[in-house]
Amino acid sequence: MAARQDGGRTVLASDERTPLLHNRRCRQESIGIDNSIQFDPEEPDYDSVIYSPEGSPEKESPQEKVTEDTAKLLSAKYEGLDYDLVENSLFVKEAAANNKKLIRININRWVVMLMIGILTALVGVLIDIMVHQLAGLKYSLLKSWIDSCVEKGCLSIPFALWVAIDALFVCFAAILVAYGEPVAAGSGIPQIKCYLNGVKVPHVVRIKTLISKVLGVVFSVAGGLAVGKEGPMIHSGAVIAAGVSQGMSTSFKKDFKIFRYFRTDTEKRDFVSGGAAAGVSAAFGAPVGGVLFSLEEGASFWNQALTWRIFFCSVTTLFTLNIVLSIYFGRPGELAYPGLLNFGRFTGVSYFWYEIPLFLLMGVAGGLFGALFNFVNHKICIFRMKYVYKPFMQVVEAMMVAIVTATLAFVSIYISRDCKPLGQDESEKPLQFFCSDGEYSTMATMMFQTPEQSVKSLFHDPPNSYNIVTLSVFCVIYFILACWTYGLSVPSGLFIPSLLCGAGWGRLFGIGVSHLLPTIAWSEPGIYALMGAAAQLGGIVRMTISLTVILMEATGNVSYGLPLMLVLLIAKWVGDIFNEGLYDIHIRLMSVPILGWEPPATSTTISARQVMSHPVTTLQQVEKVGRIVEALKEPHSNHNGFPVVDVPDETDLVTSGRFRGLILRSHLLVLIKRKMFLERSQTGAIRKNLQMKDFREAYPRFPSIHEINISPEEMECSIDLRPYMNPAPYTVSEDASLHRVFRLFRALGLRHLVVVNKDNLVMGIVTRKDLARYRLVSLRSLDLEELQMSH
Amino acid sequence: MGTTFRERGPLLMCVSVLILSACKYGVAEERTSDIHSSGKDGDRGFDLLPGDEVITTSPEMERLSTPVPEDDTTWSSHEFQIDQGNQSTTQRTFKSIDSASTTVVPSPIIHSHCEKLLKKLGETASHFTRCSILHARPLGLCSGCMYEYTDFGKVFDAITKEEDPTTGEKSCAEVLLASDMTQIVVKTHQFIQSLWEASTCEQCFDIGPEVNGTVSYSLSNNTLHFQEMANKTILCFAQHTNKTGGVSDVCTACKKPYDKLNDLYISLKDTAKLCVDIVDSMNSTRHTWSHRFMCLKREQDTVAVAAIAVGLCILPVFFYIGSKINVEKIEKKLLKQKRFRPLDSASVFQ
Repeated sequence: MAARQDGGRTVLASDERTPLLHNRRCRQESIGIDNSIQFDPEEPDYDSVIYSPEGSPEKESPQEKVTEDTAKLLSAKYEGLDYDLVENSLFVKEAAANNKKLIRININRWVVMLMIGILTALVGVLIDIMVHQLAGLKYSLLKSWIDSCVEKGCLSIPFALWVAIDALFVCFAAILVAYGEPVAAGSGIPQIKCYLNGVKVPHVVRIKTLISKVLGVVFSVAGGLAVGKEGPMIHSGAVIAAGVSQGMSTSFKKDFKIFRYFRTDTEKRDFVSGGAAAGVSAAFGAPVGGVLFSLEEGASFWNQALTWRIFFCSVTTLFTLNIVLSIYFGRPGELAYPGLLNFGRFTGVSYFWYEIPLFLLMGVAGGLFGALFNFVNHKICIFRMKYVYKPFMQVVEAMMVAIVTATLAFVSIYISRDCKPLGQDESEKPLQFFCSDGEYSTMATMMFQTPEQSVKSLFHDPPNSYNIVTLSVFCVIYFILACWTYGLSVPSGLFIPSLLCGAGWGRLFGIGVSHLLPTIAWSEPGIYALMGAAAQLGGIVRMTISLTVILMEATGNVSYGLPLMLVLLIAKWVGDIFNEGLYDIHIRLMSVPILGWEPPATSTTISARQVMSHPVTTLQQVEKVGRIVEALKEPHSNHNGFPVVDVPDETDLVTSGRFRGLILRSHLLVLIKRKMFLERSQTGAIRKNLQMKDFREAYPRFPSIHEINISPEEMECSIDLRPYMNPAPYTVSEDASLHRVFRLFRALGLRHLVVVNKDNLVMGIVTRKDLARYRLVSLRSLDLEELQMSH
Repeated sequence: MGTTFRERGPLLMCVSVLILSACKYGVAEERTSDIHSSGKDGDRGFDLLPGDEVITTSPEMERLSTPVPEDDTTWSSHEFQIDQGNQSTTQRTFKSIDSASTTVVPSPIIHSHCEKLLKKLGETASHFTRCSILHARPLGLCSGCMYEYTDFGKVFDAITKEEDPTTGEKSCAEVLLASDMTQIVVKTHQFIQSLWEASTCEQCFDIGPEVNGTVSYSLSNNTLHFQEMANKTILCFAQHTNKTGGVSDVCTACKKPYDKLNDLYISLKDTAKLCVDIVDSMNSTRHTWSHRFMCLKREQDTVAVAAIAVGLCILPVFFYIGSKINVEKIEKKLLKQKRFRPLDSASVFQ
């Protein structure tokens, strides 16, 4: 019996046919996105459309339906990673022969982690130095113009110059991304999250992506956009990890012939989690935060040895970055530069216990602002995906944002009359503007420097450095700009703009509190700025433990752990009432079949029968080449695993033969390419059998079936799949619940799960997309929605 | 040092500690000859010192011992009283140790050589502190208190570097700097040092080569040049305000020296960190110039800026409207999913 939930109304259905899920109304109600799936009111219910077991639709073809809301789709272009090892006979043979090699492989795992750590740090340093130099050039040029023009009355010239420089820089960044590697856009954290979750995001760990990302982020930061370089740093770390661990570059067609045994999805994913941790470590000087980030976002289960290696990697990064930066800044060995984003040292009283409720209040505000940010950014991104998708337009749009950013910055400095006397420790290039000699414009200190420095100023400047109007204007402007900027076709980190915006209103809050109740001792407004920054960031990205530890490590003060944790917790809870974290929203927009930590709550009522894909393309143990090629060429279903069965009973249309094993598409491709046909081995044309390394050689870009030439005679040959198939893959009974299937899948990092009936006959196959299509309508409800597939 | 112990000693120290420390310090003092026989290693060392004239480290030290005017007399008399007290206490101490009584709590003795250094240090520190406060406004710490600072540094160096003439004895540094928790001497030194460093005073001076363990400071050429220019400007200000009181007059007459000074300052600032004297003198000159005389000229360019800004901000509006009108929407085609429907399959069977 199924309980049908319809817009909160629960109807007990007596008919088996009544679907547990129905995908029409919930979809249209949810989140309020413009949804253009054209369902005809006259059209019969989805569940009454009858499909034959062969899968040809008897009524209308769903191909006619179109939608533009990609958040409600799963894209077929994303495939799963083969995290589970294929224990076929070759593998067993190799494992037996390699017993002694295992130690060397284990040592090499550490060596690779060390290399990843060092290289990530060097890339971080490269980014930092390039931003430092470029921004330095830009700001000193503009400063000299402004200083002379403020006397002569030609301020429109530096204004125009500023706008032009920014537009040029950002144009460069956008071209790199739009024409170079579109996947390098944004922070890269959503993509890395997907990868660590087990989804192969095309191009995400290629060297070309790394180059676009690194150069792009340098130019977008130097171009004055409201972006940071921290998210891209994490992505860069991941790419470096993927590249180093493979000992080759497919893009450059260069094979160093090392680390060949790491050329599998399993090993690569483990190293990528190390690289992501190294990226966090380089970005924030937070090695433990990096490890936790990798675990929180990626690892399916706690792998003790891997965790230890990841930690080694991120500490290596921290140390290398520190050393190299200290040399660059002319104080070799001082180790005072733990990360790209350095919050600086907080001194004095940490906070008073009675301030904690205030911090919680700030957490609520952060959650609300974060939810607003996500909502607006979601809308903007949907618009972009609909209308601004051509590379040319993406470049123009990025330039528009850069122009407006520079304009707003200049105008706000122009209008602001907030001057403060120059202190001893002033920012690098204080801008005098209309202020008297010996004073500087406070608005300019926030607008006329890279965002990292502005964050530091907000955290550490003494209590009376900013007046309220300046701060409010800055906050509002930055919030709007950050919201508009994220999702542009430039590499752009989200951390810095969020922190900056939050630090702005946090500082305002602190100033307000001490004005309202001047008799009580309050901590410095810098502390409030820190809490505001945490709340804003937590409200936007909704990360929990890793973000707390990252911020704690970035401040270098453990005593902030408690308030930071509380603030992030509250911000997440409040934000979750309204929408998801921004990274999750972007993952949805990419239509990635990502699996959450937990199966949907009501999933126990759904059985594997409903989840699985039903008529399965199966192969026999000894199969005709023609049949294999046909299966591989099937256009609609780019299957990657095929159950291998005994000769099926032709009259049984429900099952597809007794289950014997599972063979991967990649293995079949290699077999056909090597022409490992039975007929040839009988004639002695094949001297030796294939080994595991032959399969690894083709990794990670296996040939397409269309690239392999097969003559009609060869089509008639047959291949014995038994040595190559995995004879004991995970299977699940057809009666298992979605809940159970989900747990098995998530915990073991599976790609295929064969569903069998009580006689071990293949009923269907469950892949990631079959599971990911069940999703809660919103975080508040228990209703499930079912997503559609698209290309 | 001696004072520290005297103040804290009676309250905090128990006798056993006292005996220990007494042995450690060798409890030697010229006037308490009875100890010489009882103390095991008490006969070593201090007798070798030539009486009161101990400071022989550098000739500059001679200048330090010259009497300081004014209130210095009261200071030294006070010091004398303390000395008297010191002697009496110490004598009492050793009597009590002799009689193995537990009631009287004395303090250890420091050698007169160290004591002398300590006294000197106190004098120099007070001179410096006084000087720094007198030079707080207008800020002139670096050029004004240069000698006081170097004097203090020399004495402190003498304490730290003082070689113990005898082996086995504690050096003055150990006795004076590291024998108690309060560490008055160390903290005073830190305070003075931090004051000096916070003012980045080193930047004002050319620091000469080290001679006899002391460095010589002299105002650098840059500093002198700047001071000269600053004086010129201030003189100009004074002359022109005195004559007419008119503000516009100052602005035209002094623009040249002021601009020169400003440019010099900016060029100096670009090359190195500046000491607080220069920074402050420039700040106050600038403040006088722009706030008191209102001479600062700022040309606005509002019309052009506003026009450009409005023009640029409208661009995205056109862009988005244009893209919405012109561009085809991307539409995703749905894929059919292969699903198992038990009853449907059954119907196909039939």
